[in-house]
Amino acid sequence: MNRRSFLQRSSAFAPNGAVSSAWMEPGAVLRHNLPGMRESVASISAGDLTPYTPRPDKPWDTRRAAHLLRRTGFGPTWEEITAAVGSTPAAVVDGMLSGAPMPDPPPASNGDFPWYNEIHLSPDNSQLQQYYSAASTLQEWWTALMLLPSAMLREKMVLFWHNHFVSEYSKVLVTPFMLTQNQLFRQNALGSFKDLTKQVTIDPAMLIYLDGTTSKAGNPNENYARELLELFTIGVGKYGDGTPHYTEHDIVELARALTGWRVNTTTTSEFKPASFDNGNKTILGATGNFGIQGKTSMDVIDLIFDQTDKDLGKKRAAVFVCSKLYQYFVYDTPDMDIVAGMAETMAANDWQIAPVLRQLLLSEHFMDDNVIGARIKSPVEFVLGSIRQLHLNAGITPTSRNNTDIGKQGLHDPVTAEGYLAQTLLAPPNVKGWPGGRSWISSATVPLRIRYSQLWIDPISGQDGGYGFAPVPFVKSLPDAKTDVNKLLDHLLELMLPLAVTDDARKPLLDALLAGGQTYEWDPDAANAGPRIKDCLIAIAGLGEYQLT
Amino acid sequence: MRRRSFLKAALGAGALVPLASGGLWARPLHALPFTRSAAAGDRILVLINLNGGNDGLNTLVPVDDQRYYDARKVLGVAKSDTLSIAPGAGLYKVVQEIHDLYSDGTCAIVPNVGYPNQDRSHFRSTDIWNSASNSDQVITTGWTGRYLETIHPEYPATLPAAPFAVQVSSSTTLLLQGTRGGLGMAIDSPDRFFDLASGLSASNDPVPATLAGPQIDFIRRIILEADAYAAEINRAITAGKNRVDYPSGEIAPDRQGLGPQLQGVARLIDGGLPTTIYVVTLGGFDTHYAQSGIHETLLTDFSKSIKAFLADIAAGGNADRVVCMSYSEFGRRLAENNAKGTDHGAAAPQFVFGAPVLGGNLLGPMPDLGDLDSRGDVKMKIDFRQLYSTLLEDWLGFGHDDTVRVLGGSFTKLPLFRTASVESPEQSLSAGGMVRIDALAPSPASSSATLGYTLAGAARVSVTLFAGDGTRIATVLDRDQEAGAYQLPVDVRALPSGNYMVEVSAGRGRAMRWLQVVR
Repeated sequence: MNRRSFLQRSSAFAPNGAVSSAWMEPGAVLRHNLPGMRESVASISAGDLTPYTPRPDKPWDTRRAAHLLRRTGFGPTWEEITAAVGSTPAAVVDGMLSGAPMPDPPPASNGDFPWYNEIHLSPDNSQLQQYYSAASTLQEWWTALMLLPSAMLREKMVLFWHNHFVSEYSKVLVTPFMLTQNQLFRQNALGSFKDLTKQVTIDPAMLIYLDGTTSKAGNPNENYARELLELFTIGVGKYGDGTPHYTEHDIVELARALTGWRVNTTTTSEFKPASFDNGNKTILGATGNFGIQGKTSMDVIDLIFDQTDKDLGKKRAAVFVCSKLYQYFVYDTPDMDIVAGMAETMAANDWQIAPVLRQLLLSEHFMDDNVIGARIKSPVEFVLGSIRQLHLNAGITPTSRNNTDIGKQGLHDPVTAEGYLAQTLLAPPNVKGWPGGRSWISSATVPLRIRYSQLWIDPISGQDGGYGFAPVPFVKSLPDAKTDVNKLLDHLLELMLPLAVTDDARKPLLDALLAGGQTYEWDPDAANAGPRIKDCLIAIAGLGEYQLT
Repeated sequence: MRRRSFLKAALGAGALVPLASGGLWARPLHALPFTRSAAAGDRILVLINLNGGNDGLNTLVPVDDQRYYDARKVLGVAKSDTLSIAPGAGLYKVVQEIHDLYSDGTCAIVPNVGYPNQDRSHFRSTDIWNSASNSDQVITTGWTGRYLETIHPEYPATLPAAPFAVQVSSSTTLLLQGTRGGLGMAIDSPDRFFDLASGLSASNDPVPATLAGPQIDFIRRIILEADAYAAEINRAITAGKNRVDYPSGEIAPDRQGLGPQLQGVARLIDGGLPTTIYVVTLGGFDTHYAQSGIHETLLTDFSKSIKAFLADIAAGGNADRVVCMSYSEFGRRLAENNAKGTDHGAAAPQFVFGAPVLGGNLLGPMPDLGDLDSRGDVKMKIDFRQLYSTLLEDWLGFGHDDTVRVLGGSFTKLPLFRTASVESPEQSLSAGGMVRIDALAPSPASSSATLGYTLAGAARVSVTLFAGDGTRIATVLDRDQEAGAYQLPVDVRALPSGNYMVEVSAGRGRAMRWLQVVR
């Protein structure tokens, strides 16, 4: 069957004709994650933070195990889902939270002196070119780490922190500092949010990115102070009683307290007392000689973390970061009851992330049908999920330097493909990071996502190596592949989609596999099975549900 | 470093057509013939977002103010590096092309634009500009989104052939969000859009009654819109031509210039895409550190790109249909910082371009550097919503009451356009208006002009004279009148030379016309 005609045939209506009213209900369009929309919507009935207990109406099965793995990783394989179903939710989550060894830094090129040991604070053009190339290596190394099964949750949290404590490569330029920051996120991925905030505050890349390196007594730079409060810890806004979370004056005074830090030609930074504003400051209602006077004396960060959310009665920084964790792992609009519970857990555990995630991921709320499949995949999740779930060969590993010799371009290079879909690692759009949620989906990106899926499954021959998708071995890696085409299709759908599809949607997918034949005629080893499997998978990837996780 | 895609530059590099730069600051109103007024439905607004907070003081430089040079010992732009547009006001020479446009009468400059209680967060302030909210108010829709959904009540029940608005980006912003969903479409590469989007389809199977349901609906809607608009966009991009060269767009790593974006917009306009609003973005204006060099690069790109765009639009015969406005979330602090940069400030100048624009005008005084706000920032004198209300009413022909509703209040309009707010006398009356202006002559006038107007019915009539910056000068008339034609003398002997606006309001109807005074 001609692929285009198949896709058209499976569409149930003409684009310009009458469209089902389902998608135009005002509520359907408006409720969620409009840009700039921060307030929570009508609460969802999706259980609370009490521990999830498998039971007949909420079983620990393929669908729920896949949900847990999708949200905590970058697209589980069938083998990973099966292993999780055979275990318990708690064992699976505890496995994710157990420490994985830190990876070695990216390999040097051809045995040269590693680029990350060469720090030039004012790189000349030739050094900039090397840094630029090294940034490509860093992007690829990190992507390769995300593809590994061993530390998925940790790598997912590295991406979270990259999008929380944003630094853009295009300003930092000194690629070794970007690596240092990336490893800092990795080392502290599941640890103390407060400790990480302290370390980020004097992280060389951050000092450059938000101008701490030029801030000094008498002439403090407000950039980091503003974002530390607005984007990293407290969040802008007002409490229910009308008082602001913080004021412009707090920013001015905080900027004074943050003076005195400089980067040097190692990957650590240093405190220069002469540049520090040694006077009293009044910040968030407290007065004292606050500052960051050394790596263990950061009373100003303690002060920020002591602030209480007047509405929820929890630590404000905990509420703030738990809202973002909720959006990252559960759904675009935070459920503030759940967030308050997470914040309480965080405060009770000395700001540690791991207990908060353990509670969330193992909760009735997280495991509820209502939230399954309710998040839109980020480009990284989309690209890497397709690679992992379809057993594609991305051609990259963390231990070899690949980007110069794989010969892959554009959509068959994961880093580039992510960038085409608007998420270039190390290059968030601004200090607020990628807004996520529905902002990933537009008429510019969705057609690309759908076309990329088609070309990953069925590359244009002769254009490049593609990802080497092998349709027949792929389906034969699933149970029932040889014996029962209906069960095979069920497994394909469980693997690739977070949600069940209707019988009407399922029918053309089965037709694609059978191409007019009868179910008993199904044979994955038949001569024409490969193209039919590809047709089916392309149709699955064209469904709206494939954009969800 | 692997980057995201850039727009393809359809044309190779080439020299821009050199145009003489005039250097005149008092541009006579009659220097250019009045342009034919395009019907409101054909008019196009291009919004140019200078993201990050453009340093207005180093764009439109207060060249005779020593306080500026005292505060900017490193970054101050010398008077000799500026092109004069008015006494004490010089455009930084890196925006030479904007100066050309100003001299040619197709660029108006509005200084000191902002809003009360400036928010210095990029994100909040950008939201404020996009939503047209007050500083302390969160509105989750955009001003253009609300405008578009008002004039298209059928949307989204019926999809149009072409999008109402196009944002040249991988995503749309709050600006184009309406109460019934997004009114705009993101296209980051018009010339390949058809290949990508054409033939896509989405099912209309029922969705689950969970949080995933609305997400599926949303994704399906975007797929359908992409497919539905693909043919029309392809038709326009195929039929459309660019007739001038544009800047290449590769201005810095990960920084896309305006040239290719505006080039794509020009081609869609030339190809006849019936889209009202286009949005392009130039980022990188957050120059806290080492501003010198970066800022010049960005301003140069802005200046060369806008000039190329307007030349292209004119060459295609669309000059009377297209108006552009710049906006940026805030200006920057007068005092430079310790890092050879500038921090977040408040009010700043914005630019309005196009043949229909009453150009060669600086719509207000230069910033008063002796009267800064508590942070040492330029105070707002013109509310950004004055620009919006002028664009909506006087350019897009949006009704006054609707404009007040969309902007959440009434904001005094600015004399930005050569033509009055109504297309023609006939339309004014037939559209439910109460009044039309028949004549205002002579213009230029030196002692007196005569205003002729016609009332459709009995009404309270007021005739008001405004200065070029929108300041109310005098009420010429305020009384009840019966239907009929009237002649009213307007005494201008006390007025300095310049451009003035005469407004006649009668009940809910309003009409305006420009009057030039020469001494």
